[in-house]
Amino acid sequence: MYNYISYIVPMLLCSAFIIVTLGHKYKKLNFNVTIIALLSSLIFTLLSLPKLLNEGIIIYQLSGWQAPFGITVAVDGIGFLILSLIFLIGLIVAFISKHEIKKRRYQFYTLFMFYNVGLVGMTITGDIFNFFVFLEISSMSAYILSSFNRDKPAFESSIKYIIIGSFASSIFLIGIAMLYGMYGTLNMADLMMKIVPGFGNNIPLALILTGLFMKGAIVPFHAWKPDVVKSNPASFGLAISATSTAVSLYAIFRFVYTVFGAFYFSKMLIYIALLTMFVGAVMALQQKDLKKMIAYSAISQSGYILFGFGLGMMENIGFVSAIYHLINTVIIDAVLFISAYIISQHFKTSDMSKMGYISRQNKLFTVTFGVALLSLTGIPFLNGFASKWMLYIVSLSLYPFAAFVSFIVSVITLAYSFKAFHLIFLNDKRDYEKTPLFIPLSHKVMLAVLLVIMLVLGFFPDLGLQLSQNIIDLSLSRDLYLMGVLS
Amino acid sequence: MSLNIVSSSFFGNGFYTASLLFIIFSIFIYWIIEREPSLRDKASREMYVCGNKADPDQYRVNEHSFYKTIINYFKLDIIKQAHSGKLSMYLLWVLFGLIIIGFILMWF
Repeated sequence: MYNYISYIVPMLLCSAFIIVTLGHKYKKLNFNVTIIALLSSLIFTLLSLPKLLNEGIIIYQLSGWQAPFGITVAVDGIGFLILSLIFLIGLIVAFISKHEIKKRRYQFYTLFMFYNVGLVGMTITGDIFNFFVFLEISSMSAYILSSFNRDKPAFESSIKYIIIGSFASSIFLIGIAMLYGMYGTLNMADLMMKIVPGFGNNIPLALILTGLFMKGAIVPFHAWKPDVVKSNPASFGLAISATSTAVSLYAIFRFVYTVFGAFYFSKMLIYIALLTMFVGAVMALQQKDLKKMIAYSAISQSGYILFGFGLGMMENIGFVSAIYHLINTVIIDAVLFISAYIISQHFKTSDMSKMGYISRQNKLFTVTFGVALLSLTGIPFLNGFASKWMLYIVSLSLYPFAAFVSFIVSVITLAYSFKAFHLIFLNDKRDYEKTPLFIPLSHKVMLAVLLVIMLVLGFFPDLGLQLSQNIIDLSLSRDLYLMGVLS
Repeated sequence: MSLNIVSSSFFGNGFYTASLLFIIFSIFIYWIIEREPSLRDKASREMYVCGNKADPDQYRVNEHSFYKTIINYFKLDIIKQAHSGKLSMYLLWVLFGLIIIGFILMWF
């Protein structure tokens, strides 16, 4: 079967080149090329599904150089899911930014393409140093994008992001260097074979994980994210919150589970996950700014996903619930960020205390936002419920205290969701806004589709659970990965 | 130990229940969309306490301070104070996190 995955990165790079060279002259080209590139990448990913189902893992040795000497492309079940999410969210980001970005569009789309190249590369590579290079490509693009507004808050957040991100990259690189010094290889499968279980592995693993936690905004490495989301376009906020976090969490799974097989690491992942979900939720509760609240909420939800990964080290069903929650979180984040764009455009601010009364202007929009917030909380018959319920069930059998904490966090989530909903949609302190709420057609379509997905997954959670189970079945075999790459 | 949650239907035999709820939910959404908006004018927003006119801002619970009691009781505002926005503080968090991760890894 033909290997489509390896064409995605060159295609995205070519599109970035086309946009940067011709985009400032032919304005319509920016959006069109971005959409074509992302759509083609999504189609290429979906076309590789039969190969994945047939062989269990997609392996491609670049230029025919066999591992461990050449660069390997390896995509398993979770990798396939993450690629699909990157392109789907990429398409949503492109549609939001079409209305949101008025100036220097070609710069935005070029950088966004590079950002996606980095994320795709991190997902598909089977080489640790290659992973670092793609991490840097996505980070560099994100640093520049985070100052896109060119105002003081954007520059401040960008500087913070650059310093914290560079620190993380350095730590990550030191971890790689230590591994190379210890085992003499950078190929993940080769490392799997050569790694001798023992205390010595813990330090490079800790350094690598610190870098990944920083990229995924896991507490206590999360501080850059709310500032960046607040002071930048909502479209970039969605990219940072949904895809970047998803790729980082996937990388954590890849390193801890596949490469190191560090099952003893589950406790630490669970502790960090509990801290992340709690701090994220408490901070979201205390926010006045809508974008910042969504950013903290995304941090809290990534804690739930990490929690599932930690539980999955002991009981596979933990991975299933984590993957299902990842899918749900990405869908909810997409709804919240599209809504944040519409709301902040309407009120010309993202300060929730200056908002109100939208419920009178657009009922369906109100319902969609409300459903997204309730899904986030984990209310039955909405998509967030089943994944959270499974996390509670698994953790009740393994760590009852962790189940209690995660339940408390859900209550806090409900509290800040109510607060945001009341301030934005029901608050009648402010005089009724006469200006009609403008929602572009593309945004209406996206919101309607996402609302239907949330309701369908909520009423028929078996669909999502079965999908997550299939993805996990295609990802957990370490032997298959090892044999696939090295044979 | 094996938890078999996925193999059976999540709602048990609740497919028809779910369908029914879905229909009810759809009707509810339709009802919300279709009903006439009842705008509250200034007069209807006035508050009365013991028969006297009261200033709404004085008696109304502010959305931001609604959870203040709980936050203050559990001292949760410490977490907000730690998010001061200062880069030096954030780098301290990073260093603190790195030490904690290293410590836990060595401990386990």
